[in-house]
Amino acid sequence: MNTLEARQVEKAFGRTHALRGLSAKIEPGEIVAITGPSGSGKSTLLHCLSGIMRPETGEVHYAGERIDTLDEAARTKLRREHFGIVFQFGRLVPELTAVENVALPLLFDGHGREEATTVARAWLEEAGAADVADARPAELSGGQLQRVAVARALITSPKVIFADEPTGALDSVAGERVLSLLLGAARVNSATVVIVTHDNRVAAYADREIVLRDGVTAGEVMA
Amino acid sequence: MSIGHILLGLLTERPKHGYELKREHDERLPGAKPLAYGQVYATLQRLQRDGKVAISGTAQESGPERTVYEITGEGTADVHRWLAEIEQPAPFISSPLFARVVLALVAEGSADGYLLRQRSAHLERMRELTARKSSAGASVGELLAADYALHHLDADLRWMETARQRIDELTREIRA
Amino acid sequence: MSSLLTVARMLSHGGSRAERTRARLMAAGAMLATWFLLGAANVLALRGRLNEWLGPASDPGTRRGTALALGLLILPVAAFLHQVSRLASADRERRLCALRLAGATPAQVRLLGGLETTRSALIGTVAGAASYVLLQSAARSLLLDPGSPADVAVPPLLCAAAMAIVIVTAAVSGLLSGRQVVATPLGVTLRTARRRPRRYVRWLGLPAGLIVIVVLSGAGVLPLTRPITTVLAGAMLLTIGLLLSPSSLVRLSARVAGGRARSAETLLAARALQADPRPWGRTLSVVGLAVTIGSVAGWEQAEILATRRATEPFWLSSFILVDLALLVGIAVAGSALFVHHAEYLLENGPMLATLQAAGTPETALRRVLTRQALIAATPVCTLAALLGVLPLGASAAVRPNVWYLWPLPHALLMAGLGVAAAILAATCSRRRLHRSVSPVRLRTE
Ligand SMILES: Nc1ncnc2c1ncn2[C@@H]1O[C@H](COP(=O)(O)OP(=O)(O)O)[C@@H](O)[C@H]1O
Ligand SMILES: [Mg+2]
Repeated sequence: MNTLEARQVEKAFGRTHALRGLSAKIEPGEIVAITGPSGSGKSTLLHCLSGIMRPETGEVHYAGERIDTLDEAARTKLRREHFGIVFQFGRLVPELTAVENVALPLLFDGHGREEATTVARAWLEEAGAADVADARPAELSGGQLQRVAVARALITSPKVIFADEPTGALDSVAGERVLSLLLGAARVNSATVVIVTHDNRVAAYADREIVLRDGVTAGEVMA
Repeated sequence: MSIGHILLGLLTERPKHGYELKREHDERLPGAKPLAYGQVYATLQRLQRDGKVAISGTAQESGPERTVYEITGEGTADVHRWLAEIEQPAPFISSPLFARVVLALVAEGSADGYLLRQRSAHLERMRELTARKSSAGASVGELLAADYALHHLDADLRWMETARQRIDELTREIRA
Repeated sequence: MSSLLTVARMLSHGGSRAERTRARLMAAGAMLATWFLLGAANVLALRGRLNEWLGPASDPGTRRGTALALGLLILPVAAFLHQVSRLASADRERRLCALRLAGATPAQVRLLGGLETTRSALIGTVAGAASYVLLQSAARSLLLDPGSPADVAVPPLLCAAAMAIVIVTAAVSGLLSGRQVVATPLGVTLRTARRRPRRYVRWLGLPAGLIVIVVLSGAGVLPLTRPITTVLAGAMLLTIGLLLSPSSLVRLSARVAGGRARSAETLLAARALQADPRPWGRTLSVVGLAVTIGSVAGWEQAEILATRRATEPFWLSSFILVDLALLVGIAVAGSALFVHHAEYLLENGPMLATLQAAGTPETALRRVLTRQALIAATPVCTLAALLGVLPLGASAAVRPNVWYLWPLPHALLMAGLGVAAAILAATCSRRRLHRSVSPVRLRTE
């Protein structure tokens, strides 16, 4: 099954040790929050788990396969086919309309433009952003941006969704809508969700919490 | 805040009898401590003595005959006066959380274990509230109540995190 | 003033990596400009007939033209410098705003901007003049026999004038570049939207085209009486019109490409161009000019080859020197595109890193850069080549000589060189792209 696991992972940036021998296991379909004070290594852990970064020592496993030893091309393929990723500020392509942004992953995967656009529109509808489908990112509010970003992450029906402070820039109500969208879609596909957050109210949406302190887990709290 | 003001507020809609007032209190302020009927009865009598409510008749639905109360002019004025005031920001810390952290430090030398356990309990409660909020058919009152509780639990958690860092810092200073 | 100089020195020490690069590139551009100006001055200062292999510089009659051509090489350098000045402009604006908040007056901020560019220009011109004089004296001792009566040294006065031109231009452009920021001290995020080219600018090309045609036909090159030339004249009008506003040509090309894009790479490339066609337009207008001149030069070459059998060293070296100058022009303009890529990558780093994190291979992002080059450069260079070849084609059609086929491959070569320069710039930006999409750029704080 698609279990995600970090074993004794270490990662340093110059003299800063972001992760120091961290281990964590995430079961398929689980919704897990990674919390901790800022600078505790949450984002770095997410980058290592999702194969964006390679830890210096330790191992990262996904679906029974060791992924931290894969080369960049293989990890890129893995991310594209199995993972969906959402960051704090949406990070959409400024020149493309919302629907084109959502269609991008499919286009990069070699699907036709018509087909990709149709599917993208359906996802925008799902995300409650159908009315801004043809607007460009600069014209969207923070909440709309984030819903478009979530639609873009979901369009490939990922097995694991990674989100780094997905509601960090939003007020509570807009944040709630983004979270319900993300988690609702994940539940339907029984996808795993890993949310990095420093907001306890966001963490309360998860089934389980991994608390980080100075690059190690402070304690795992079972539901 | 007093029960008197809450009952007067509920009576501004229309005349109600005591049991009705208790039921409405529990429904509209979900999550608040439920009222005992005796408390409602005693409060109504006091309000009647002060001229803020008056008996307007009796009603009989499917049980015993009940006295129906209506709000007087003076009562209405009292409600609005109360709503125009603000709640005093908590002047004393009466949280048992605070006491436990301090005493854990005194008696055991460290509050780390306690803080982690308490965090887990708080988060578990927050999960329940979040789940209730997300369930279909939650009323506005329930949503507001859940939000209220979530924000307060969140404040506790943030204070606990600050406390942990503060204690860490102090311990490091003492050792150094 | 002296305290301002202190501040300027402090700032130049603390600049970001991109800002240091900008200062260096500016100095390099100033050096190139100095070389070309000194070269022009040098040619003007030559006296008497020299060795035929010096081409157009050897004969007093063609010296003015040669100097003008060398002077024209300033154009691509200007395009390059303009692009360089935009590099890291976000960093720079942030800094100037911070200075305003720290109590600098608008005039002081503007002065600081001027000092910065002047400094780079000073370093560049001094290095340029020194290296030119060194190289020239070395070349003189190698190429000329010592007994030659020709005086080929640059006169100090002209030399100083050339340097002064470069430095003053740099100072003025530096003073002007702070305008936006001075207007809004708090406005880092309020960066004013890039102005679209005014509508009438686009149509300026048409009367300009008309004038060119009238002049050409007046000179007897283009007999307007024949129907085919009328058609050609129409085509030329349009071509010139579009070439004079290459930004709109680039935008048009991008719109068409974006509309029928089947792949994500083409879509991304086309939309990025459409949103900001002006850097491409500016640079490509210089490339286009070189391609047009090169294509016209093809006719000149054909004419001479057909009539004189062209083995005279004067003409051969003239041809080579002209093509070389055009190549240099295209190369310099191409490096302006390279600088534009750097700015694009700097601005869009987090967005590209996010795409990469979401599983877009870096090779696909590289293709985005190359396709930008293709979409923008192909129409401009094609039109430029046509503009150089077509008008004279009609008059050549009546002269049956095999040499008159030469301008076609020559124009094709020129257009190809223009596109190749753009693609080369994209290829050279690969390492920078690799750095911009590193996960480090995902960090928000
Ligand atoms: N690219 C980087 N360069 C230098 N330091 C970094 C880099 N990325 C992360 N760090 C450091 O590593 C630590 C953990 O960072 P991060 O994982 O982003 O924390 P969090 O997401 O919990 O705020 C921090 O001290 C941070 O400063
Ligand atoms: Mg982070």
